[in-house]
Amino acid sequence: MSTTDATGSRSAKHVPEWLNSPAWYSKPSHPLSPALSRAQSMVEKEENKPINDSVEDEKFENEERSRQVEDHPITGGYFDQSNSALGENARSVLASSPLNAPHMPSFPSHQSDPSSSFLDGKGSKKTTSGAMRAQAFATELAKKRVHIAELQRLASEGIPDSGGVRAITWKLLLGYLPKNREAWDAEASKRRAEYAAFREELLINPSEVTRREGDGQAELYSTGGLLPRQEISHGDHPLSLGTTSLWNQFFQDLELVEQIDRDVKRTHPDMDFFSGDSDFSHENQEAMKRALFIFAKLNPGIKYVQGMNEVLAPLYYVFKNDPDRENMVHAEADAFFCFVELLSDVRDNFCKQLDNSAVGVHFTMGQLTALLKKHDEELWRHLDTVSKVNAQFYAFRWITLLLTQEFDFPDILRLWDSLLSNPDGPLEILLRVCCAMLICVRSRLLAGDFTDNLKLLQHFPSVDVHHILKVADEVKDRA
Amino acid sequence: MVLVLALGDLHIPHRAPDLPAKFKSMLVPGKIQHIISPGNLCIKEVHDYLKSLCPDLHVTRGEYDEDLRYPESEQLKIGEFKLGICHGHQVIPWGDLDSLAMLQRQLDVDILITGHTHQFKAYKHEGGVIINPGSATGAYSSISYDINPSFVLMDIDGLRVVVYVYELIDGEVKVDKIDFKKPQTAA
Amino acid sequence: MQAPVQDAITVAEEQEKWLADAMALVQHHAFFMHRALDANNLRDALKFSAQMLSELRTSKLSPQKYYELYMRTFDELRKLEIFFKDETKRGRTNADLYELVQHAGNILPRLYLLCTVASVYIKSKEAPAKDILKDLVEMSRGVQHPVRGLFLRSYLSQISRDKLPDIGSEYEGEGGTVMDAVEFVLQNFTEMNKLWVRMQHQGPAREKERREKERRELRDLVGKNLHVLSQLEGVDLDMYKDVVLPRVLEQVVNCKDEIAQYYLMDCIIQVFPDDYHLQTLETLLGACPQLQPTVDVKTVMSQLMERLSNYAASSSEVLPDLLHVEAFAKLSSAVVKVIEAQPDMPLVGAVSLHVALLTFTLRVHVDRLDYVDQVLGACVKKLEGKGKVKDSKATKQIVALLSAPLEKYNDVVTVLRLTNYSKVMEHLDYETNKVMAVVIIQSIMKNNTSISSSEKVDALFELLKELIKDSEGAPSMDEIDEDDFMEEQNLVARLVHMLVNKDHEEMFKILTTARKHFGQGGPKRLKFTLPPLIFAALKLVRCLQGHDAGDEALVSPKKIFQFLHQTVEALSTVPAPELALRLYLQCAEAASDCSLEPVAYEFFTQAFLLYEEEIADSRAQVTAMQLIIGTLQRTYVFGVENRDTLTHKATGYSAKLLKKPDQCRAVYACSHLFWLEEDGGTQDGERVLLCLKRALRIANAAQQMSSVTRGSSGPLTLFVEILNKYLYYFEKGIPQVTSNLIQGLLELIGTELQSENTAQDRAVDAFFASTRRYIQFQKQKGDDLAERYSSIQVVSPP
Repeated sequence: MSTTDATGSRSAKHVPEWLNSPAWYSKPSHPLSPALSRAQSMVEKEENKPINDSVEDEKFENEERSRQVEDHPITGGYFDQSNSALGENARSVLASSPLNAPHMPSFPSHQSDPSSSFLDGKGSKKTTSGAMRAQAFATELAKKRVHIAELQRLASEGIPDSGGVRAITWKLLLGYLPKNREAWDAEASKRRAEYAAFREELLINPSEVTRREGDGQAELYSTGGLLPRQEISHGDHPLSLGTTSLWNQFFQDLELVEQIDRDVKRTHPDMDFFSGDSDFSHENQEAMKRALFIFAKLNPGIKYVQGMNEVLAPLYYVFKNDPDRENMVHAEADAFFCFVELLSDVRDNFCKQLDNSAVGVHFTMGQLTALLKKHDEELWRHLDTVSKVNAQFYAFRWITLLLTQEFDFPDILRLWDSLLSNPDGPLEILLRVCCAMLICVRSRLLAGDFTDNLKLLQHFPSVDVHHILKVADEVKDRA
Repeated sequence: MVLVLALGDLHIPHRAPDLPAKFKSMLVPGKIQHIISPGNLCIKEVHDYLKSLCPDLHVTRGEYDEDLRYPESEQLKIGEFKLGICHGHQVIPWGDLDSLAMLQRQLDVDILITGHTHQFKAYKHEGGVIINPGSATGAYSSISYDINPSFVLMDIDGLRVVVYVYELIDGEVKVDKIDFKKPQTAA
Repeated sequence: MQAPVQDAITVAEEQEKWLADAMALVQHHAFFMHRALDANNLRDALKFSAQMLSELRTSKLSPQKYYELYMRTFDELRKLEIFFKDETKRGRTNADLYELVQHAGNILPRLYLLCTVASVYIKSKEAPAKDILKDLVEMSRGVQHPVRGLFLRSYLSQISRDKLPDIGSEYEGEGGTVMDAVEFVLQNFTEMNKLWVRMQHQGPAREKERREKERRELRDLVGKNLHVLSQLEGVDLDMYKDVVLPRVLEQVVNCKDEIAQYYLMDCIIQVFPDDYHLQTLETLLGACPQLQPTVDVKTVMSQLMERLSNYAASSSEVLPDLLHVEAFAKLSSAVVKVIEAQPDMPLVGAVSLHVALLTFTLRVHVDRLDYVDQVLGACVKKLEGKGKVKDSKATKQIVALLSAPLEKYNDVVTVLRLTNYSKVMEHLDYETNKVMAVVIIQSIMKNNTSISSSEKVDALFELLKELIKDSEGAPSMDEIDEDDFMEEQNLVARLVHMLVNKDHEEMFKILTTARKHFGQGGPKRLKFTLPPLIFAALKLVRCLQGHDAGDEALVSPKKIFQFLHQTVEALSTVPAPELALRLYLQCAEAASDCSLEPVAYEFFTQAFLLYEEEIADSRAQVTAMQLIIGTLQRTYVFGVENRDTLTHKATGYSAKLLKKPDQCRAVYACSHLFWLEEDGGTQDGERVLLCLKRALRIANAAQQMSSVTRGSSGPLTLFVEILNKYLYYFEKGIPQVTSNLIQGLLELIGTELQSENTAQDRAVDAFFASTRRYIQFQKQKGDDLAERYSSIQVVSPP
């Protein structure tokens, strides 16, 4: 008899690999991953750095100290799993050194520099130096009851990159954490438990469910005989077409799962955190996929729309890079709820049916053009009439994806500090920022025709994000 | 979780016009990763139909199969299991479990899928498990009388297999399962 | 060629310009008219309104543009009407007004003004409505220009609508009777139709298309009158039947205009109630043959039939009416008459008419198969002498005709009762006929229809004859596409499973009938069509097993086996020897189950004959032997002699297979022929051992040959296989298979495996290992078998 070697089957084509991952039904246990441990060590270095104004000195000091610091193991303090999510950390927040981007190893060091003051002393005091600002945050966050308006003001000038300040601030700004510091833990625990329940309920692997029910009876190679057949509970088998069938539900979700998978894999391909072959990036991808899937299942009206992955990414990144271990471990859950919050503001832009309505994205784009017209009529005219570059050719992505595709990652974070801290909501400032973006490249636009301008706006050039924010402020003031 | 469909001895069109309608309505593309058939389909149309359900199709030769290029037997690995396929008309006495066990030893597989008798069987012996999915159309057989159409769907996950047995009895589809696992062996 | 395009643009622009000019003038005059109205100046009002109305005297505007002008003017005339009403209040009599407006210079303005006054006049009831109306409808004759006349009369119709002396209206009695109203409308209608038809012939021939387009734009003006008639209370069934319909039809037929006829017939059908149509069916249908040949009468009649079908479907009480009125008869004779009246009607037209009628019949009289058959029959008559229809459009209609009953009944058996069905089918060309045949089979398969008698089989196969056998007109085998042919024949094969009847006698008849038909199919078809028949027969045998009806019965296993024998024989001469061999073996086993020894023996003999003479390919031989041995191993019916003969043949041929490994395997398979498990079966340990030993020898020889030809010995698989066989028999307790033998073989294999000459083969190693493992396993089970195994030592290789 002839025998043929068949190709061994690899992981099933239609069932993505990640579905087989233990994360579906076991508690995740993440060893501290390399990027984070680097974060730790950077933080350590900063812990020992003296606070001073001079940037140059900081750098020098860092290098000096880093050698010393290496020998001292970390004790208590930071990694204390005690109550306040950030109590300890807030105290030791230090200036983020301009050159080193501790949590973001893989992209060019275009670093937002909070120490450059930009406005001409209008309005309330602007804290200029990085250290002072860090101190201001620390103070505010240490209060028993956080004053949101003050936090918003602070955040709008940029949140320090290290020490988990951004994470906690965003969580407060988005309303995930209550103003009352004492309630933080309780609230966070409650939400995290909720998320765990969602995972349990919605991420079903029917195969696993069946196995749990059965007991994997007789072992394969023991006594012989006809194998007895057992009845199926609830008539649930893989080919079931019943509406209550877990299997059927599972297969119907497959398409959604695949769509999310495709998009998540394409998120920020230049960043190790999100992309590549490491276990770490895979873990992050899985977390984001789960969050997006759960969101889709809980919101059947809007489900999943391409682009939501981009909106989730900064949130998840920031929370995952929180030096506090407890927070880091629950980054997925926290990011999920913050994503929900954020999306509720911009949800209408994702809803296709509302595209042409009074709340949909076209309306929003119309607002943008109106704003531009008001503040820079010459540019508006050139864009609208002369070069005929309609807002929907470029602004659609700007608006729906909250500018995550137009800037480098650090800049996105800085921008989002402003977006999330705007007292009038993210959309309001988003429009101003978009307007500012146009104004900032006005000379090029004015000189360009349809093709040039379209190209420029669809691949927005590298512009100092602080400058843009400044212009955005001006646009407001002149309103 | 890998879903593997095993069905055979359809004998279309000589002994049956088509798969039972209730089976056909359940078999939709997109759910199954592999199809294994011990043989006797017998015509290209049936082959093409199965291929449309799942592109990874393994068929061994039954004595009435039109396509003579099907192999006499085949082996493949799915999850931690080694599966073997052979129609069974080559193993005499037909349907004899001990003789089939010998074939299984020869192919060195954990699960042997075989047919020819048109009767569902799941039998465990020292060397592994023999599964005969029966005849998916309930076709006439000189060996067995009063056959119900049947086929099998296996859910293989690592060292464990859940075998779902689909049988058409009096016009209704009944589904049972068989659950077994393989001990972890030293490589 | 720039000019035509230019013209087109210019024409449209011109029209716009003219209209604009005219509208401007209308506005101008209207302005002054309003002033006069405000000043209660009747004279001026009349003067200016007349001037305004003069704009409607234009011939330059297309109907669409004229309509716009008309509407503008219409609005102004409403104001004038109100003024007239006020005038009468101020003491002027209607009669006065009526007389005054006639002083308008041109006839068109005069008539518009007259109508406007009439509106007030009639309302006032100063004079009988009928008189005024009659006056107007006659005077309107003065305008013979088609477009102007149509709009004028349309105006008349509009203002008079609510003032007709209908039953129950305020104008009845003094003002007239409904008869007057009807008369008025009919006259208006007739005149309008004449004007409308006249348009067709105005102007040069090259503008015909444009004229026809313009005519279509105006058609609703004419049709409106019919609508008005339908709305009159007083037009009951009798009035309709006696007066309205005949008059209208008269006009329709006499005008001899294609556009008018088609439109008006349709209009009548749509506008008047269905039960009227039912009661006047003959009259209405009677007009159809009289229509112009170019009129699409089929659509008209289908419309009518569709309405009537819907009507029938709307309530159950309607159906008896339909029957009472003999709707079907009338419709079918109308169809015939129409076809007769138009000898130049192309075939597709005639068939489509029948299709329409059939659709009606299937909807309304679905259980009257005789009606359906009648329609088909009428079509057959029409097709008589035409042979295979070549026109593709007509063919399409014929297919529609044939498909309709299939889809409606979803039951081919019902369709088989239509005697004319096959006759219609004959007129399809070869390809289409086959397509239709396939459709029929698919309908059977989809609906799970059972064909349950031999007569039905005959009728069905008559329809399917192009698939089942080669008729004269069929293309030769070389021209036919292989794959298509196979697909078709496989479909026919599937069909066989639908020929069923629980009654055994009938079932047998069915089988023999089908066999007869298939027998005419020629060698290429047999290997597709006969096997399913054979299996159906085997199933029947099973049903009869155990029932002993005796030799007198019409059907018995013996008789069926005769049938089977002949049928399989036919296959072997196709030639399809391998298939035939398999089927002989199936029959043999079945015969054995029926305890018919000679029959079973005969089948085996035939199988062997085929093997000896026809099966040459070595692979085929191997499989054939497997099947023969496998079957023989299961048959218990044979007495010692027969059994020996067959077994001897089997073992003999096994040993002569081409390749040694195949020989070896076949021979040890034969060992099972001597050890039959079930009661009464032979159990001859000696012969078993002989087979095994022989197999060993062959395996040895194979080893040596391999050594010689390849320099190293071939795989030891065969030895391991034989070892396993030894174990099998050992476990069965055959005394001749001793533990020593097994031990010896174990050691032999072990040695060979380690020898340098042996090529490495992982599969063999694994097989041997698993066999040894098996022995170990058996040894430790601790039962009787383990006892016997205890003397066997399993040595693990280093």
